[in-house]
Amino acid sequence: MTPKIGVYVCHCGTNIAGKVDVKATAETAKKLPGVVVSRDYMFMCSEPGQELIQKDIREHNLDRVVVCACSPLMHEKTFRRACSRAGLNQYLMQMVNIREQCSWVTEDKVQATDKAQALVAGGVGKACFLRPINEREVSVSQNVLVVGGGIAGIQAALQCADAGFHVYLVERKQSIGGHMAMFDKTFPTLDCAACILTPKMVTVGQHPNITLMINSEVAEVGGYVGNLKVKVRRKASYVDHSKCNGCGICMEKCPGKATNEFEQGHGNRKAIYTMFPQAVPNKPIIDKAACRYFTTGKCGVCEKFCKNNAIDFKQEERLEEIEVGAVVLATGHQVYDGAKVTRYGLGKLPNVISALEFERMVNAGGFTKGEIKLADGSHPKAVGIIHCTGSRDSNHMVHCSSVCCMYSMKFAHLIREHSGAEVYNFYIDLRCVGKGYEEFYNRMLEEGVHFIRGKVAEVSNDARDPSEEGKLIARVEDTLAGVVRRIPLDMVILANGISAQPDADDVGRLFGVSRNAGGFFIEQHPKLNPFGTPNGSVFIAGTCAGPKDIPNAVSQGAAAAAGAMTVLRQGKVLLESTAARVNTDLCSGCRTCLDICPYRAISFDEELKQARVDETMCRGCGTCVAACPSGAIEGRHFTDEQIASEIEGLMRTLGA
Amino acid sequence: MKKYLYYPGCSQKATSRAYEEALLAIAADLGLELQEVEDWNCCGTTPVMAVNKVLALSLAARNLALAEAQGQGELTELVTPCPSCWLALHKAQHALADDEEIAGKVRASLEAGGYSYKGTIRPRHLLEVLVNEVGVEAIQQKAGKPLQGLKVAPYYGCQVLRPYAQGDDAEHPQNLEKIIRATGAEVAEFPLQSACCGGTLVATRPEVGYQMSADILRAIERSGANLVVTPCNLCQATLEIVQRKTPKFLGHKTKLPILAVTQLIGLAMGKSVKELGLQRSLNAKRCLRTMGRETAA
Amino acid sequence: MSPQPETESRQEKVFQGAAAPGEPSAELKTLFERKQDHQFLAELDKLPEGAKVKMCIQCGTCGGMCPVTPLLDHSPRRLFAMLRAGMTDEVLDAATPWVCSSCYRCTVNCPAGIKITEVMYALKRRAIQAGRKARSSDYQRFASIFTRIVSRHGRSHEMGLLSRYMMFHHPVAMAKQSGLGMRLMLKGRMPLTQEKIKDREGLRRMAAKALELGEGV
Repeated sequence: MTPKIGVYVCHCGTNIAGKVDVKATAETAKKLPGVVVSRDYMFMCSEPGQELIQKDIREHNLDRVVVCACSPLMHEKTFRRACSRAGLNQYLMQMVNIREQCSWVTEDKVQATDKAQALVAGGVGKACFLRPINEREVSVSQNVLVVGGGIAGIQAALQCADAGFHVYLVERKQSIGGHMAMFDKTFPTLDCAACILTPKMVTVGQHPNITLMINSEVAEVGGYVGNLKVKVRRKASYVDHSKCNGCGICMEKCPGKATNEFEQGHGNRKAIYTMFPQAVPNKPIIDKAACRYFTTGKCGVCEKFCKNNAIDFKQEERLEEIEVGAVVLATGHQVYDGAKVTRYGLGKLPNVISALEFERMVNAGGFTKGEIKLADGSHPKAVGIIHCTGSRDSNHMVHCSSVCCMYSMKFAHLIREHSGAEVYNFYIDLRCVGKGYEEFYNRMLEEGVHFIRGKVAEVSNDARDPSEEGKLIARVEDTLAGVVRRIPLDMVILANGISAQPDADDVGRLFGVSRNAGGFFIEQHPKLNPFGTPNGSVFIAGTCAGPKDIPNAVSQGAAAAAGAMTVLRQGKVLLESTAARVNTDLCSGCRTCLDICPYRAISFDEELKQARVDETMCRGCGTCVAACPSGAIEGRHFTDEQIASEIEGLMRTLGA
Repeated sequence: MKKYLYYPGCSQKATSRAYEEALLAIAADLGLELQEVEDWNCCGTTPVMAVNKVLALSLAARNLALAEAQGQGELTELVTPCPSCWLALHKAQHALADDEEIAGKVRASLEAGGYSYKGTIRPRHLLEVLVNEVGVEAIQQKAGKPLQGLKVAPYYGCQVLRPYAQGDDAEHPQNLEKIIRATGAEVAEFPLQSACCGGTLVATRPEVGYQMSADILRAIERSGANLVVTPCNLCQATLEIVQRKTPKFLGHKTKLPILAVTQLIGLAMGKSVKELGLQRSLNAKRCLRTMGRETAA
Repeated sequence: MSPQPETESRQEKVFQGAAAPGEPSAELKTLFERKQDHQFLAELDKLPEGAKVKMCIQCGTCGGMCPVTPLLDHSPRRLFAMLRAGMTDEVLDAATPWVCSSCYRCTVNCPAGIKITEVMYALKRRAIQAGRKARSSDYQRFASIFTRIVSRHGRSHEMGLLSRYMMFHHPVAMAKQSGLGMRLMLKGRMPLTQEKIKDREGLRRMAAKALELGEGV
């Protein structure tokens, strides 16, 4: 039976009509096989535009609709709904993109019109072979998984928990708190970071709706949208936290020592430890590599002193399976290693330190008890802060750290306040775009901080003048004064940038979230959905989605929580109807498709020796369809027949 | 024996004769067979690039063409001890492979001279070959008279590291350090190991060129080094020449032996003063005294 | 009535940053956009080495890195800013490209990935092609003598090069340096005669063709 097709060419104001002759395009479409009616209209997505389609479906008994307008990412849903309202299965609507892929990218009007007509013919060709597809719903688990216990993850967990949903918060380290827990003050208000963070941490620890899983990582993600089965690797901590009351006697008595990571390698911590005094949970874990019981077989001091018998040297790593309806990824970042910018001498020249080292140094609880000191114990008279270390540099990271301007100025203030030393901030541009940020910059100018516009070329101990003896010399072009300057300094702080977590790729693969060139998770839409991902039940928050400061991380955490709760509150989710299907007559059981499926939707039926697509997990991306050497997998809504017909339509019009 | 095509470069026949003499003295022991490219010409180095890009690349490419013909497809690796030559040859190789427009012009020029180049030669610098092909272990094995007690400053200069680091780190190189340790000597650390010696300015802007080398000599002296070793012939000559003028620039005279990397290895291998061309140093006597070779001279 | 253009003397001034050490600071000029040349930057952009000049973020890494700052009249960064301002004359007259020692430190470390040393070479070639007498014309002379020697004989010859360069341009300095020359000669490091390759005919034909094809590149 010949289909009855309606074609609708949108002007999109002048967006399309400015380049494409829409009238001619609609007119030529009338001659295409199966086309019953063809129209052009100013804005097809407007109410009257949609009404036009619905009226035609009813009056002309249309069984296919081709809308030639913008990208399907924008309005496919709009036109699908319009067709549904008129009683036509929504999958019988085909969109043709003559804006992003045609009028916006073609200079010449004639060429644009030719291209549009070819695209329309292709769309009509495909439409002839469209088949109705019915949608299916599944119910949604009412738990949320939050991965990462930094400030973004904490915020997301609290929002969901307060709203009554159960939250599993998985944290890799001994304590939640993330990078913020290491900071001394926060810009621009100079609030004490711990004072504003620890109350939230404590709330998380005590919340009846939050299951806190520390020293743990997500190992596997299975199940399907709304019903994810997640296996969490609970690493052995050798302390039974159900018995431990956090008295701390074990840490006091432990003879084993290890480098203190929290203090950036300055000083030691015990082998049984909490990361810092306000850790949540305030219950220690044992570092097996440093523990004398494990390394020498003798010791067990902690076990002897523990009144609650909480020490358990036999504890083993285990996998715990949980079921969740939505996930918030808040896995954070890694501070870029300033030693990689070798010309600044970190790790080679004494008194060149990283930003986190300075945070700990200036913190009253840190390794110098808040005193700003040089390696020899004396106090610096001149300190340089090098902005953009590793950032905005094609040799390192192209992106802006988005925080180092502000935290460098915070450092400048703290140094002035604590020591009275001269402070030189070396910057390329000052990006003070937050609330109260520019005002903070003004305050630093008032406080007498030296600002030199120029990227430091190198830090060395190559003294060329008596005044430079024993100093660190920063050589820099003062780009405003137009001279090269040599600034003798006692201490240099590298304002390291923000890089993606080294294992972000693995995490992304687990949850089906892709990453940008810098390694950060990609959002569903950079403007309109900066917290969602193409995987409808996975949301992203904090620096795992890109460099950002605390207020932005908190906002995104709350937004991701709202996204997760929206999925949960709906109670049901629609499954992707364009799922792939294996033709069992053709599948040879080669397993090619298994590894390439980005959503892990394909499993292998050992009995039949054939691949099987789990339609609840398939997102209809078509990767397996293209990869299958036997041509045994069909993408519903993208069948070979449909695509061949689309190409034929295109080619015929192009005269090829 | 590993066979290589060999491109000496002009200065190996003049100011840096000793560098080449020492190279030829140690090559066989290190398992290197060097086959000099016949009728090679000047690589063009920096001045020609300032005048005409196609000419500069063609001068370098002519050598690649001759090397290719001589190697007959069996020898494709072309070793040169001069960093500036290496860079010129490497740049020409790259331009011919990657830049169609310029490659066309260079090929046309080659053709006008009766040469042709298919593009099969891989230019390599001697230092990198010593570390990656000969290997530090082999050097250590052959060092029959290890240089214990000597503190040697590794001075790289520019073009052996920049813009192409050849597998080393441009800001924190290690290749020379590896060789120094293999000879049994100690490494003297100093801040200007890859700073520019100013050699290209010695003729045109001597005051500035000299100051640059003088600063390097001062930093080396402060490190407590007994001698300096470099893989660059221009740097070697420049430092030697400037050392004669240090009183004017530093207020005192520095007295450092300045050796080419091949000379250092040769010393550790027990080669004679003559074989290593040590008598050609501008401060030969001091050199020999430092090395404990007074009598041998 | 349309406003009268301001007089040249008041207008033709530009802020050039601080002057070289020991010089009084430059006067403040104003540039009229209509007089500026933006063609040159567009041409540079088409060369493989110049394509990234437009990516400069004016950070000054190059100027801070440069080992020959005492000789620079402008840092590479400022030359790029001047190119963007259409100050082609000033750029082609600049000493900076001519005193560049080709150490490549700026090239390796430029955050924008600009091959600064290669851009300097391109500027030198342009200056020669445009018939500019660079402020640092010594190097220009040196380079052309060198080029002449190697494209005639196939080998460079320090003795010939230096004597030709110095005799005509720096006779006093030459006398000063003669002691050093003698020492090198005695050490066998400065041959008196010019080395020549065998196939000089082929070389000269190649060089002639290259010189012709190299115009404007």
